[in-house]
Amino acid sequence: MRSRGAIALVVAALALASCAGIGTVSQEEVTSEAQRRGGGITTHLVDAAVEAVAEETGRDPLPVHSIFATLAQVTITVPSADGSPGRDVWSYGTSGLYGGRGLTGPAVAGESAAGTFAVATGDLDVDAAGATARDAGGPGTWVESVTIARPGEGAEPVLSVVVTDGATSQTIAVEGSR
Amino acid sequence: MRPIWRFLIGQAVLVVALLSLPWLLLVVYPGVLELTAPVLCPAGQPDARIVEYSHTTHDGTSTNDTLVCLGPDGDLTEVGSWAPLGVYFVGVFVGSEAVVLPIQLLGIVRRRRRGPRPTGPPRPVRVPPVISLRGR
Repeated sequence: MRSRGAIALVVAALALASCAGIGTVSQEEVTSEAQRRGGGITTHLVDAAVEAVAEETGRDPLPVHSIFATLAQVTITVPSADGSPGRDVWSYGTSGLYGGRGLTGPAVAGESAAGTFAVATGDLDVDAAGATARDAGGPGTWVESVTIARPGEGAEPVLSVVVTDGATSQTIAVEGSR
Repeated sequence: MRPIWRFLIGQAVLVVALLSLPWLLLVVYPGVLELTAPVLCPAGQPDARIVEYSHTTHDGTSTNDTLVCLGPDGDLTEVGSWAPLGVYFVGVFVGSEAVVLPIQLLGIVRRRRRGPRPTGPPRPVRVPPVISLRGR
């Protein structure tokens, strides 16, 4: 009888162990779901990053060399805070699985020929730019990255959206998103 | 037993049960942490997923679960592991107390209304027999 009880206990433990993990998904599945929904790069994400950097550097509106956004991660390059010709690179994220949470930086980068432009919260309509780019990219595409930068000294900032269907990517410059 | 002891023992049993049963449920079904999304997920990202991921440290590879909130455009925010666990156990505790506490209080009130237990006639006191040591 005792051995039967022990066997039943072992079987129950194995059954429980085999059940463990029910209701969880992998990071790849979450990424796929975010892509099916459009890519996850939104105005809210970019605004939160701009606001965080502006607050940290005490500059509002924020002078910016470039903004680069991917899923749950935004990198903002600003002129060096100490007035040197170099640049400060700030990273802002909403997930440790996708590069880190919160604001990190600044990392120091070299000089850039591109000029700066001022950005404040609410200036950039990334949602509209993403929707336009996805329409241009065709069905089944999602926004892979968004870049906002001046192509050269004196030029207006351009919002470039990379859309992909997983196999091919195309870059679409969206006007009027600022 | 005094009512306060009954109450405290009831609470202790509840705490022990809370430490074991919800943990067991959590081990078998970590997806139960999705229930914490209405409290922890930011506005506009209502869809919760429990993501299982592995990371390597100098001690080896460990597997963790973390709550990720998704918005309609695929925007996501990772809440982490500890906050959902905390909210889950607080929720279980509050829910359990909502059931157990009224029952315990009802028991106390009933016993108070009944008053002290009726006591029977006093027991006869046994008196040890007196031994006479008078001389024969």
